[in-house]
Amino acid sequence: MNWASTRYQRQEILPGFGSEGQKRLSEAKVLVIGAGGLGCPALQYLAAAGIGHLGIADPDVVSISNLHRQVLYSEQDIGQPKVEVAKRRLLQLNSSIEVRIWQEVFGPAYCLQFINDYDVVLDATDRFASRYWISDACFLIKKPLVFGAVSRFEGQVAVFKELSYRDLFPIQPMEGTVQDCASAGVLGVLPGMIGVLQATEVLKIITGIGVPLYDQLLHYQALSQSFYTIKLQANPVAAAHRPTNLEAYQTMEYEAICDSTVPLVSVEVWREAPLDYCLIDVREMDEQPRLDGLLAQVFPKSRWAEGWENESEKKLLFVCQSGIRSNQVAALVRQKNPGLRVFSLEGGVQAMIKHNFL
Amino acid sequence: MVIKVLFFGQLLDIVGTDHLILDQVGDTAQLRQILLERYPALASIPFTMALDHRFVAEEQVFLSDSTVACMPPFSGG
Repeated sequence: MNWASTRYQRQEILPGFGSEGQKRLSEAKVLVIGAGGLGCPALQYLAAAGIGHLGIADPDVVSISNLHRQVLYSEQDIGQPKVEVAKRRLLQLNSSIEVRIWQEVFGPAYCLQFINDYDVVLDATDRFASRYWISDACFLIKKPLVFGAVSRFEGQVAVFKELSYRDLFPIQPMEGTVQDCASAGVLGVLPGMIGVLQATEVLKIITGIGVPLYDQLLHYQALSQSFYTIKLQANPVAAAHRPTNLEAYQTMEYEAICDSTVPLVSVEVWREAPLDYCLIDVREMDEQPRLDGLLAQVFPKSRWAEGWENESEKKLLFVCQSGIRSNQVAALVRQKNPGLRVFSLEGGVQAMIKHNFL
Repeated sequence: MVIKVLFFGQLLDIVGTDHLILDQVGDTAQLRQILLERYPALASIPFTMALDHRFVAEEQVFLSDSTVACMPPFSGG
């Protein structure tokens, strides 16, 4: 049955939208990565609005703890792949659209070929590793990215065009340092709000109505029903941490860099037997104070891509200013060299200063 | 210089309030130092600062009645 003339009538009569806006939606291809709390509401509204082609990627199956917020799924779907249920439900809602699904999250090695095919990417994932590889990919190939994330009663939405998530948070946080929904909880309607805001931005970008949140972060607080906007700008620190070309991107270790399982050594433990360790300073050359007196090897994190060879028989103790970068480099070294005994100095040079060691 | 500092996400739990009014703070570097001294747990969470709704890429001097937002990343979806 041809419903096209009446199906979208309520939005086609909107000023500035018209049949031209609807035509643009029907010709658009939108990739939604993650079909969870954010992906479900975003997908429903994008399908309902008549986006011609939706791509959906998610590796998970439906579980009972998803149902309080992931509104595409029902009790009888438990155990089924989310992408399959989502596709079925979306085509029931709108049979005139195309839906392509992947029961996986691509990762940097081969996501570019998929992202390239789409007009807009919607990040609805729930981990930092994927948020950073999606953002770096979209930045490299200049693809508009609609970002969304939630925590408890709060959410964030941004549309990256000239900038990327790295301009906001240059360094990928370790998994575990920032609470996720599983440990911190999330109010069921919250990802609904944020996912719908993300869908709204997609519709604006494609039809040209209104002013998209280009290179701005919108924060939403459900408990006070308040919004706060931050205008972003290029962050000089981001450039040092983002892959500069496609090759560097595809070999970037987004998972290992978030690995929070590298054993830590405190300043107290290290100073009891400093000769047991080979100290490796991963700070940049201009960071003070230097550790020359401690016979530290110097290997700035920014030169990681040039390669690093271990020449010591001792335990390797990585150190940076605060303990975050050293943990990341240690995680990378451990992944490439599983046999090495790799540690990170807890609190870094700041902790050495605090214990009056420097 | 009197400024208002807003806290979001997990920073709320650490600071225990959604905002502070601070006196005698000259710039963003000084603010960061004061916050870390008062609330050492802030060191464990990355956060970015925005001065009067504009992201602070490099340290900035405050004007009176400035509002500074401290925003951590969220990972949930």
